[in-house]
Amino acid sequence: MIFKCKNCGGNSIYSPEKKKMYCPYCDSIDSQERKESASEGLETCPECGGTIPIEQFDSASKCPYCDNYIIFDERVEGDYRPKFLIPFQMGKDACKKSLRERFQKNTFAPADFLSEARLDSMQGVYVPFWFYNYDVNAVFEGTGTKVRSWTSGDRRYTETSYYSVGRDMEIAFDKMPADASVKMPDSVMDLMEPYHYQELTDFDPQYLSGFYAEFYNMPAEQVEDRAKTKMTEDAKALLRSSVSGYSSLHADRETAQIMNRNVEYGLLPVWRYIYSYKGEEYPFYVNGETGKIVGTAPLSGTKVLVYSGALWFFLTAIMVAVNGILGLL
Amino acid sequence: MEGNIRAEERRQFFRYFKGWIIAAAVLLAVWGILAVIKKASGGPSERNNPEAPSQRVYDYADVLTDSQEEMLAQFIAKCEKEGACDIVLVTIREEMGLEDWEWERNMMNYADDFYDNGAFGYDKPYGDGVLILDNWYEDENGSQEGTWLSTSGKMEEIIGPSEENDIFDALYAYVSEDPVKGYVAAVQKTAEWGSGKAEKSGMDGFYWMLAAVMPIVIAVIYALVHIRQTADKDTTAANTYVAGGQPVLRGKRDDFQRKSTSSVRIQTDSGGGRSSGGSSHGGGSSGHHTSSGGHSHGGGGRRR
Repeated sequence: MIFKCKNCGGNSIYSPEKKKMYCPYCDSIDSQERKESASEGLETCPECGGTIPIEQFDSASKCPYCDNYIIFDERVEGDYRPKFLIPFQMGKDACKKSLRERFQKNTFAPADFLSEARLDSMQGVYVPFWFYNYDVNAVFEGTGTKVRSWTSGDRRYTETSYYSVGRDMEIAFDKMPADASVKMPDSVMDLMEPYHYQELTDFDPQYLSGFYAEFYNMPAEQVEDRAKTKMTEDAKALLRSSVSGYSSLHADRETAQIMNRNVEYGLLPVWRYIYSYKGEEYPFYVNGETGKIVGTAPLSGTKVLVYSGALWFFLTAIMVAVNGILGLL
Repeated sequence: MEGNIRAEERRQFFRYFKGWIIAAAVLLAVWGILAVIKKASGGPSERNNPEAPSQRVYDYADVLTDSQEEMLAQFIAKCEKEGACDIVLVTIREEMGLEDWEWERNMMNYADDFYDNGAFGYDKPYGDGVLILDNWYEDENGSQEGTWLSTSGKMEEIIGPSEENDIFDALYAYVSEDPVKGYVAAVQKTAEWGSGKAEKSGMDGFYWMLAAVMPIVIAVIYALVHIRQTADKDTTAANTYVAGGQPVLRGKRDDFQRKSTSSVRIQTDSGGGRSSGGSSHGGGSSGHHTSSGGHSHGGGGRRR
């Protein structure tokens, strides 16, 4: 499907800034109409007939010939229809600004790292996530100690009191996320969190217009271990945080038992910027809702040498000049 | 594209080092202007002290031949113009005391009084000048050999402990083997300090070391600091995905079980303090003082 402007026939896209559908050709707001694709196959652009290079799990892409954003109906419907998504809250310009602010102090980054031309290649991607809801019964059994010290005469006394500590907790985990994309590194997606779920909205394919998207690459069971690991760690941390006032705490039993579970499928927004430098790719990811950035700037060896050498030169010149001036005064 | 990147690199470099470039350029310019002004203002002023005797070499220790005295006097005359200061050389062979404090006091008084009695001074009586007093006394009780510098006028300000050492180093490199060579070296060094050449030609050793090492150290630290990047952090909390933000605590138990007590004897420190002490040998700096003639002198000495 493609969203076309009723006024000018241009491709209407979702604008994070306006939070509405927007036609960049005639500036019309909410003037979109959905146009279904002809049945010529996914790889053929319904607008220009050009070949769209789509991959196995792509559910939305851009035609490289006519620049229209195409949404693949059969990949966002039926079993593949997400229940909800967080629409992009941050547009490309805001994302560029955010990247520049974060990396402007990286003096040794290559000169064109934050150039407009490079940053313009950034893509907004809706990443498929499985969201797990768990009702958990968490139990802690252990021993805590309280230590008291005092001095009397020439002796120092230490008194240790031992307590039997128990906690029983019910925890309702709501939408523990785990990404279902092979392309997106798990560690990076974990660092993208948290997303603020108050922005969650029911899925509507129009939110995908103007962005790239994938549908889930694997079933929920396959990535659930990641969610369970995070859930167990969080449950233990919550149990521990409920115990205070002890000098030391030793756990004899610490469990997190899942009482109820259900899973939902949704999409979360990510801006992706791939910077290529000397044959290597440096990926940067920006949370499309909160603006949190994950990535490490590349280093230019030449810049390291030139800048450090220049600093040495200027410092030496200044010290010599100062000494010369003092000698003449 | 490549050309644009190079141009951008240059632009970034000059923008980044703008402050440094301006600071270095301004300081170098000031240095150059001052050097030109100093050169334009002419060399050392003419001598203006008719009261002082013309003799500059007093070889009471008899370590110099007449021709050597003559040669030294001519050399001193040349150096005095260069340094714009009187330079008087006095050799003695007199008992000044075995103890350092006694030796220093007597050498200082002798040198200061000699300078004042002669009313030496390049610009005026008791004015700019240095007296080099070299003692060759030695007997069965030990050596009292050593040198004292009595400074006056501008030389009192210029010659501090490090400059004194510079002059003594020049003197002692030769004086035992070849007194004339040692005195020539000391006189020349004194004139260089008087003219400021010594400062110009050789910065203080420590400053040179600082100027050579500090920029390297700072440049290395700068590189390391800027290479290092902050790691991406996990910004979720344990309750981020908990409905309502807080779990429900169904049961809580903190039951006392038992208690144990232990004790240790407190060790008291019965050790004594550290003693300090020591003595200095081989002369020292007298700092600024007033001679028995009521004139201000500086200077210092070193024993051989």
